[in-house]
Amino acid sequence: MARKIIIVLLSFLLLFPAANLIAESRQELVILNWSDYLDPDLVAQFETAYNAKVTQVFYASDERRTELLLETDGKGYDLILTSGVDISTYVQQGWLSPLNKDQLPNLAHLSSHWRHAFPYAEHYAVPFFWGTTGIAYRQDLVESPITSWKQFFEPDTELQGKIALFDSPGDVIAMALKSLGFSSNSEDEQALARVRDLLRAQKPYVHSSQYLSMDENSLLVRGDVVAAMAYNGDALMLAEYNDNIRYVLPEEGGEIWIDYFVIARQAANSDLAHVFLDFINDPINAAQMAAFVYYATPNLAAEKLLDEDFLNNPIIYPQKSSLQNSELYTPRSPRAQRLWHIMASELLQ
Amino acid sequence: MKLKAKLSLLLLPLVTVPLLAVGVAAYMQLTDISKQRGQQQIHTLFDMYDSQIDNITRTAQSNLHLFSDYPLIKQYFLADSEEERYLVLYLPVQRQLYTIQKNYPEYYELRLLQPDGFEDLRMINRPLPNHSEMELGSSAFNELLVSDNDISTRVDRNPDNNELALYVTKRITMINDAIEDPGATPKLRGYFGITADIDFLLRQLEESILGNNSGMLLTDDRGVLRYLPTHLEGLNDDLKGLFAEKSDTADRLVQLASGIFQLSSRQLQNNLWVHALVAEQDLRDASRSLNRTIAWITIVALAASLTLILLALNLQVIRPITRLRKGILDLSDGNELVQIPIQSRDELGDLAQEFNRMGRALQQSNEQIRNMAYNDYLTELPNRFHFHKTLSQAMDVAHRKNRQLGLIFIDLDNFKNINDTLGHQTGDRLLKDIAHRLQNNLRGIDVSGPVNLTPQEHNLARLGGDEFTVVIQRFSSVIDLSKVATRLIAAIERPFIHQGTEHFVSASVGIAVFPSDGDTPEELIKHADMAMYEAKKLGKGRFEFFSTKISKQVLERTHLERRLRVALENNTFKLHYQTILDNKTQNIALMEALIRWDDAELGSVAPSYFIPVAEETGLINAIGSWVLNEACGQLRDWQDQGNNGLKVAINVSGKQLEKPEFADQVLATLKRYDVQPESIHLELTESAVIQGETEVIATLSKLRKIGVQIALDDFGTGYSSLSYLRNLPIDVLKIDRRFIQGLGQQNNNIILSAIITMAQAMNLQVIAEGVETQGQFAFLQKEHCNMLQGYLFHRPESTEKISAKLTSGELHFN
Repeated sequence: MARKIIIVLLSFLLLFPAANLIAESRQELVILNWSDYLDPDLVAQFETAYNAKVTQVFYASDERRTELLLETDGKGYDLILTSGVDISTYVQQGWLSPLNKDQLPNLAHLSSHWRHAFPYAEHYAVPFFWGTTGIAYRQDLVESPITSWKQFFEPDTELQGKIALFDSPGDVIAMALKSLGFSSNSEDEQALARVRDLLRAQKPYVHSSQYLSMDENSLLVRGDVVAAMAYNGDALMLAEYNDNIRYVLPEEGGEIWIDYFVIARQAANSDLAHVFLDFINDPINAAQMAAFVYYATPNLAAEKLLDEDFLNNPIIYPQKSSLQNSELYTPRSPRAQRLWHIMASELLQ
Repeated sequence: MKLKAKLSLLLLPLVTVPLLAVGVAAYMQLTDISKQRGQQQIHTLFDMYDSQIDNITRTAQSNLHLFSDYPLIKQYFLADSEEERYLVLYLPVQRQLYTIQKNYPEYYELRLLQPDGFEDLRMINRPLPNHSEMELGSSAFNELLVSDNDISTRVDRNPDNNELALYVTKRITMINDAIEDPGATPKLRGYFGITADIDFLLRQLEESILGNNSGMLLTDDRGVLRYLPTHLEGLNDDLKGLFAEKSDTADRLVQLASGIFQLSSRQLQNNLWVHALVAEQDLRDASRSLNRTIAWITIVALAASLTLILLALNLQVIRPITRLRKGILDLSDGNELVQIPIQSRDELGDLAQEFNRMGRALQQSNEQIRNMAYNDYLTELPNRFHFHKTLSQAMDVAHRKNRQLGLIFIDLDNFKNINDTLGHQTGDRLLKDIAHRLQNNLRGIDVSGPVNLTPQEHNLARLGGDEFTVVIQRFSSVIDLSKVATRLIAAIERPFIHQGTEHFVSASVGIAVFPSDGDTPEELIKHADMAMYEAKKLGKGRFEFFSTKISKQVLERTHLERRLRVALENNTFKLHYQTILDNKTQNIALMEALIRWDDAELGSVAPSYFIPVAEETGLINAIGSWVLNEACGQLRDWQDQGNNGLKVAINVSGKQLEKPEFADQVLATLKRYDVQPESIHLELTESAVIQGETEVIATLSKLRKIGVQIALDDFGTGYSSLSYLRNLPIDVLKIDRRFIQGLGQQNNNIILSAIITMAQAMNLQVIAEGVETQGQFAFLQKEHCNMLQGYLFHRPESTEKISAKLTSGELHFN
């Protein structure tokens, strides 16, 4: 099959050298990203406006992103969408290049709070969206609404076998810490030991450990899974397929996360990467992007362009009070990270 | 002591001792072999374990080289910051090890150690606690620290689960070519270790049970017990110190508290030894069962070979000797020609052969003696003495069987003259020839009558001089005797040719018949002699019976025979006819043809008198044929005269039926006179049919098929069984006149009634003959008998009278 495609391609190139030339003249931008995280209309607009071709490489988890970068030592990508907590690691690995702020006039619209939320973020990263990690569940399939991580990690009969975790042991351990009343950034061995016991006990009731897919076949839409770890925007997107899907930021608090775009040190087209970052931070574009992904934008100018409904949606913009117990991840010490890994690998068994 | 017992006693030890010796030798040899084989087996198992351990070790070593060359693993070892190692590389490396372990599940623990022995990364695929992350001090690690080799391999107890496992550890030394000079000395970066389970080996050790008290075990190189199969756990204390001294590879015996053991050892790894401990007791158990098997084989072989030997002895020696002994006893008991079977071609066989030869010789000489005593020296015929004995015996038999016996006494006429004129030599010669000729004529005798003598049934003897006698034991009438006499006389009267000269001799014969002519041999001989003299007196060359009554009988019979022939020639027989009426209509159903003979010399002779003679002489065929022709011709005439429905019944003799051509003869006759087969009844007597062979039945069937009616005459005089009638090809049953005449007496009515009913049930027509009274007639009518015949209706009448009556219409027929 692959050979066939190559032959077709070759003949195409030989027969139409003009088309070849046109293709040659288009600039390519390679973005390492979550799937469904860029509005395709905006991408198309950008491609037309700048005679560019945007190629996205998708990853399925934070860990997988690091692995992909590791495999090429950071080569092959122009833009990388990363979680805030990984920025410092990537900088230390030498995979990132600092921003040329002259090329990013729209940076001015971005919230200073989010721009400084993580080490190195200010110089290396442009905040994209922020959100929370909580629980998405089917209100029609549970008797009592889910309000806490405790219900999730120590499930009742009605949830047993119908729970989905993230494909990210780190997030699972962090939320388990929350359910036990610890900080999600705790490095306390006793706290971690309790998490281990909690997760071991929960393991038999877990249906799967993978991110929910954003379509009508999603396990939650189908009802195979009744409660799942979820990002707030993802839960809203799935609710379009089934309006019984609810999202809750549990009373113990969840994670508050911020995704950033960073520019790869070995980017083939660093200029185009800057152009793209400035394009999506144009307030109009940023507003359209937020409406597409149902996440809160750090672009303050864009915020003003969004509907009241959007801005008043407590899931997208939670009340200060409900965010009270939620935390940002802070970078862990390497030794602590090793312990987390060991725990995760035990959970894998 | 009997020969059998002696021979057996001699042979018994000859067989038993060598067999027992072979049994013992076999036992010793087999025990030796089984011990050797046991040792061999142990060493084969050792070889197998050795190669398996070697195999898994080498595989693990090469895998370790392979794994440690994976870029990610190399990068991990080269990472110089904890951040890089734990934040970036840890998880991917974990995944890599996870993948490796999926493919090699027996590598249940994969470990990456830092140069100082810190267990940095550990991947396990079974729940296993981790007792220490600091491996410094573990045996595998320590070995590597001091060793020049990059790889250490040992089987050791895993402190985490206390199980034996194979530890393969590789020292990782590398140059970081990103920052170091390619020529720089490689630095120690850490260690990569595989922990592989060796359950397969332990399972095999557990399963290789060499006996209840034997088994395989493992120790390290200092003799510390590493593995003991469960069934040997009782030996645990016993074994302490056994391997303390440096293990030896030679097989040897060791004394333990629980007994003596055979010990074999093999080094599998530098710190791993396998030992096979075989209890003497197990060896003894094995050899005991072997012992039992051999004992059984020996006993069975002994029993079998002894039986065979005794059997052969009995067959080959004892039995022939017993036979010989019995033969000799038989011989001495006076039995002649005692012969015994010759069984073999050995000395005993020769002896038996000699015995048989002797027996035959003895018999021959006995024969000669007997001949001299019993037989006439000249003619070799029985002599007077012998004759007396024979006659006496024959008379006893005849008396017992209530039979007649004939004695023919022959005396040559004027034989004295021959002797006188031609000399005794010629006379003797003639006597011999005469004896010979008499013999031949008796032997070849074949008369038309029932006399057909076999040598046993006549006894020719020479009484002495010119006198001969013949005893005839089976004949049907004295006529036969006269025939034999006539024949013998004729035989003697034929000329004898001797040295070119014809000699004429004649003889006179006298015949006496037992019992009428005497009931002792002497009396019978005397009377035959007297009859012979009578013959001589009456003119020689003839025979006379002693009894005048017999003489007369013979004369009459001869006369009758002669006149019968004349009658046939001159056609003086006549046929009369008697009517048979249909019981329903009283009309004539049939005319029975009855033969009549009015002889010029004998007068009117009844058929019951001359038909038996005709049957004996064979004249019956000619007479029967005449009757058939005559009756058919007459029927034709009558039918031509307008009596179309007339039918005729013709009597047929059993003798006629015996001729195969009889059916054709009847057919030809019917055709000749143009007579319908349906208008002919053939009447046969019961005896003719019953004695009839299948040919007779076939003949009757053939006739019946074309329409000739077959009637069974005189029913009730013979077997009187209705059941056999079913199988006979007959149409009509003719009940004998005596039944009819007996009506009113005893049960005759019931019987007759039953016969009629049953015969009709079998589709047979029934004729009652001899109906003479109205009473009989009334009864038969009541019983619906089909046809009636008798004086009550008509007497037999001549052809002419019948013809006249037919013409006049006096007789009606259906």
